[in-house]
Amino acid sequence: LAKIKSSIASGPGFYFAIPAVIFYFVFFIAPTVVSLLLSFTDWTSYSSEINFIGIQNFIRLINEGTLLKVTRNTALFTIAIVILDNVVAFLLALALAKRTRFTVFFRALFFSPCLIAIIVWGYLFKNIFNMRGILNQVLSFVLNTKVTIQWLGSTQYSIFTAAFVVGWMWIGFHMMIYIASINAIPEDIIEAARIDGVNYFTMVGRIIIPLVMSSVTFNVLTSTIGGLRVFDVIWVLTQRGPGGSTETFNTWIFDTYARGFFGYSSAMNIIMITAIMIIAVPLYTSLSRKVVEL
Amino acid sequence: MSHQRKVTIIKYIVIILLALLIIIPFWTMIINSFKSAAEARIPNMKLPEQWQILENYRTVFQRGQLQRGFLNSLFITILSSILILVISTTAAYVFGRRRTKYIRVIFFIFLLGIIVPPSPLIVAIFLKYMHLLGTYAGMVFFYGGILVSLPIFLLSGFISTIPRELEESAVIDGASTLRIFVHIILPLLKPAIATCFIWIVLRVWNDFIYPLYILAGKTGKYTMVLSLYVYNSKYAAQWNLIFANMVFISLPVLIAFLFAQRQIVEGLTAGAIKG
Repeated sequence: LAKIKSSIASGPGFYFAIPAVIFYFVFFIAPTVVSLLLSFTDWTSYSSEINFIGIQNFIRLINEGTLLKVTRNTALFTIAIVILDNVVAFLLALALAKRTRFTVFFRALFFSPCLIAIIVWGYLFKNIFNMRGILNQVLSFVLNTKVTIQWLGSTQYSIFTAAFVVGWMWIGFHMMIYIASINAIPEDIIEAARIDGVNYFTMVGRIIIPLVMSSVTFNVLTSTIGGLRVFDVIWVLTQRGPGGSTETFNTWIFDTYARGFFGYSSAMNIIMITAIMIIAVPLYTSLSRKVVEL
Repeated sequence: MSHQRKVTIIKYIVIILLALLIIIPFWTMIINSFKSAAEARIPNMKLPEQWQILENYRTVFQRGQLQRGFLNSLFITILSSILILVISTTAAYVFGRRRTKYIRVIFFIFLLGIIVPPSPLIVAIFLKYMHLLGTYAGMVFFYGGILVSLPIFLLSGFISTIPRELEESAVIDGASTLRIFVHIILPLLKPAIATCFIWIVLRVWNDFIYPLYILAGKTGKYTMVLSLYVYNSKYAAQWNLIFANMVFISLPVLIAFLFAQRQIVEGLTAGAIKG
């Protein structure tokens, strides 16, 4: 009996995990490794030859200024959505944390945009941000003069217009996580602070924020990864323009792949993966270790 | 007291203003989809002078191949969900129960898939050699590989909290591992499976970038989201019809949200760690 028990204690045979291993290996691990290998080759769809060219693809990315431009755009985009999502979502969560009929309705409303495919919002905001679109119409009405701001036509702030759409879409998602986290704070801590006469801002800054820190990390992590991987909204909203000013890692990778430059495209793919791992893996491991002390 | 009241009033004003930011895009999309082509040429927030609901929606439904797109989306989503749930529950059973050194290393490799982006460009090249590029199978297999990590993470955590006594008594009764898995573990996993299912459905249903690589121009297999993309490149200026198309695409998800709000919020925020 003891023998049987110990055999159960060791769990099911590894063969149970084989199907997952196969799919994960063939469609995730192997392609990543192959991409790494291809990034050192000159493979294109125009020639049957594949030559090993060392780090020439990477040098070309640097020399042509592509890497700097794409990194800069992606970084601006990511910083903008991280700030927008976390600040607004946290404030909304504070306002809507208590469960009433009123707050439940507004929570659902703020959450709803992230359920719909981002390209729907991409096309819709393309229209709203048009020179004669609804945003300028509203501004013209409010300011009582004709407003013709080119929200999507500027090489300086189009990237922020695109970031607004993605940030706007995910606010409700991050808000829900903050709400769950705020509501997990034991009532007596808040009550004790209130009895001690702590004012609201001190309570938020000194008590609530430290206690929801793991959600802050999670929210920053998810919006950072989302930002670094952005594709859809750029592809339909700004079409990488004007003048390449909204070109990001993934749009460049897809475009270069579609034009048949597999090796060159792979090089950027590897850079993107590395960037995400450098930023996200430490955050993620610190997150899985973090336990809120109560 | 009156100070606190002032704060409350300001709070509500801000909430309502922010809510307008959500409502205006929805309103724009819906109200302009009811207008004539001329009226919707420069969309605004006014009510239509001439209501063209049925006509617009019928035109888009036929031209946009929405029925086809809907069925493609449904087909790909269901098959991907089944595949991912089967392979992730079985794998999670191993990772939740066995903690040897090798198995923990493999588990860690699986967790990388939560963070590291996949390489669809290479998968597309792989699938081409397997003669699966531009097929439903290629699409589903790809999702099977790239969306399996988070479900494994969630499910294995859940399994490790299930007491072993149930399995032990079943083994003594002579049940095989597979029987134990199907009759004891799976029923207990139901809530976690539901969460993973919703997470997978939303990922697959709304995906845009990966079908672009994997379905590679096979428009007959395009999902609903891609049908909007195709439609826009064909009929770019007709905003009333484009908006109607967007409403069609948003409807299935919004209807689901009305009926299963709590589960959907849980499903989408599944990766969040409580605390």
